[in-house]
Amino acid sequence: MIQKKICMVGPVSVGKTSLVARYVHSLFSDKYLSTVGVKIDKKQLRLDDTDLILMLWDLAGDDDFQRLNLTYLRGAAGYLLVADGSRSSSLDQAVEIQARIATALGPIPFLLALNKADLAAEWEIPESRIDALKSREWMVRRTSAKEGWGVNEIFQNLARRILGRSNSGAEHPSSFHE
Amino acid sequence: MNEAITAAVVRGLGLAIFQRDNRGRLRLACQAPGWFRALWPQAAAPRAILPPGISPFLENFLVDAAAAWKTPGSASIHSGLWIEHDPAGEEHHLQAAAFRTDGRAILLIESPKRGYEERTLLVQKAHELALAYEKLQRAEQALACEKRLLEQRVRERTATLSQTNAALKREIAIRRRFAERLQGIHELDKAILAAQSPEAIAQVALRRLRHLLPYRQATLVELDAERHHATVLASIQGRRISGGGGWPLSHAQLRQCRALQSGRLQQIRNQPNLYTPPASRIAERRRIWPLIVDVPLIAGETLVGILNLATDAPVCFTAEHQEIAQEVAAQLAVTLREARLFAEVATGREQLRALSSRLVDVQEAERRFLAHELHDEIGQVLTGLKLTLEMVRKPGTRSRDIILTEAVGMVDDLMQRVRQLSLDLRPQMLDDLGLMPALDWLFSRFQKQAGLRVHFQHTPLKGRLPPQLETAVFRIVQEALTNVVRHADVSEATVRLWRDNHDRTLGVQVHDSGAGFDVDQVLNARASSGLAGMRERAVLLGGQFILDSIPKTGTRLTVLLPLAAAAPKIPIRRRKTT
Repeated sequence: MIQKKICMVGPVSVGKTSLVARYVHSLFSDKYLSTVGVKIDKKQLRLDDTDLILMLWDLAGDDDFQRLNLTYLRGAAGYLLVADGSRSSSLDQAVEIQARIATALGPIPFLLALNKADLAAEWEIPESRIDALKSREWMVRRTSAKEGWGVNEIFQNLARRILGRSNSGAEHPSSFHE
Repeated sequence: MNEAITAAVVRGLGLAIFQRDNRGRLRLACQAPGWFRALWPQAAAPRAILPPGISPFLENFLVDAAAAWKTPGSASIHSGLWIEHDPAGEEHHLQAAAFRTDGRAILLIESPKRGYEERTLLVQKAHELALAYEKLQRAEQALACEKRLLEQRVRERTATLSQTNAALKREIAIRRRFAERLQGIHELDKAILAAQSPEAIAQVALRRLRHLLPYRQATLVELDAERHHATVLASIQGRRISGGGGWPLSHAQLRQCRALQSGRLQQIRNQPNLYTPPASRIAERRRIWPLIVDVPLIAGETLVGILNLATDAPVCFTAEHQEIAQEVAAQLAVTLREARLFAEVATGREQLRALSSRLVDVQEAERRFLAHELHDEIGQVLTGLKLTLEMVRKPGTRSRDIILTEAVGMVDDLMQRVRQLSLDLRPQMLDDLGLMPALDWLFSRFQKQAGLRVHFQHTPLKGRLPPQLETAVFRIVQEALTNVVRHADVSEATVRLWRDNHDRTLGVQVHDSGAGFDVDQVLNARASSGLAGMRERAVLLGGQFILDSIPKTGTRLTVLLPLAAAAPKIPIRRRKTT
């Protein structure tokens, strides 16, 4: 059984904990509870022919009160960079966090999840911005922890990337809604 | 502090303390607290070794701890909070610290439940505040954006309203000007309708026009297209109004009239004014006007006059002024024509009254003449004849033959006098032989009686003319030659008689090179019932009466009579050879 450490990183209130809860426990709560410290969950899955255990490190959101402790990413096979699609500022922060991680730890597989895709009316990330990130070889996915859209896919895609297997290319964002 | 107190403090704080042994293992150095026993009962025994892999988080921290322990004098390091679940599913919040003390490497793990809750609450509130602040900032940005958009829309709307307002003001100004213009034209209309004569109309119109049009000098010219004659009804310059005066139109004026016949006003720049009367001062006639506007006065399809406006400034006559001028001109044309017709009717009535009076006078004169002729001439001869014939019955007088011879002579004289009287009243040959023999006889009479030599020029008449036409021509020639004898002070005159090529008109003209006279003065004075009679005869037959006369130059009287409505021609009777 292969075990891989995956960290959930990103600004506060973007839905990192909700994504893990939806993925591991198939649960979702509208009530916002800040994550303090680190919570580790385990998810076992079979990816193609490989049994895999994902150790999901849900890290507190990075802000002025709680700076991301980069030592938590030590030994991580990859990380899920999460931003809130209804707050464009969260994407700016996520990009900045990714730069810090890359500087400190070098290239680690990651995937950008633009969460809260269910809030279509409040969506602030223009397609051009997503295209610009994709042009930097970023994998970008829209997700909704509330609706479950794209949740399994992002973890599986990241796992495939970690395992060095071919990932599906850029998915059409709307595919999560269908 | 003794060991008992230290142990009590450690227990009280719920700490799990591990000391690293010389083999690098972490051995429990105190009694395991309850939370530790719940989480990792396998490592809770006294002096138990912390098994590797017991906690992924702790294992990660121990990497940093090992580095810290290797560095003498290094400060303690802290793991930060993390969460572990015991087999019963209860959540434990932990944090670890690593440090060296007295050469011993120590790992300290605690479960700061109260501290965790407080921190969670604090972080929760801080995040909520931060999110609310961010939301507020976004709302503020949105509001600022909305404000900018609103301000932009207000600016645009204000600009639109300003433009609309300006357009409305312009529209109001235009309508006000239009109303003033209508009012002005209405007042002018009222004024000219109240005026009686063409001259009064012209004066009133030019005075009123001053409020409607910019001009330095305005002149209202009445045109007689047939006579090629212009008359100034009124002219205004400043406050001075003048009028009167007529003159034959020059070639330039005729050209201008033809251009105006189109109905469009003409603008002439930097030229003398064509309609300055010839009698004006030379300087006035030669004055160069920056702009002259000639507005045609057209009644029906006839150019009856010109409203002549001269301005000092070349650009002051706008399109609106042109409209006003043309409206006024249209009204003036109709009013002037009506006034002229009224005046003509009045003149006609006056002439008719004069003619009636003259007819009575002539009748009385004829009767007096006849009475005189019958009493003084015929009566005397008849008395003499009676006395002569009575002598035949008286014995002892002259022989009968002599008496009868005297009586026959007296009868011959009587017949001659009657014939003369008859010819004076109306030559019988006009009815019997026609116009040409009658005219020949008339001319010879004028030669014999008045010493006037008449040169007669005519085209062939090809037959008799209707009697009323022959009478009219004979009487007109007779009256005209009488006038020549009375007033022209000449011994020669020319009479021309012709038919036009289409046999539509019969023309007769009497011309002399004598004293001449001022036609307007004589006609307006209505002193000449002879002229009026001639004109009446022409008008009654639907003809035209044209009189040209220049003092000290001569007079030319022309009458054109239509042949179309005349009675069938009577073949001319050739004059008997005398």
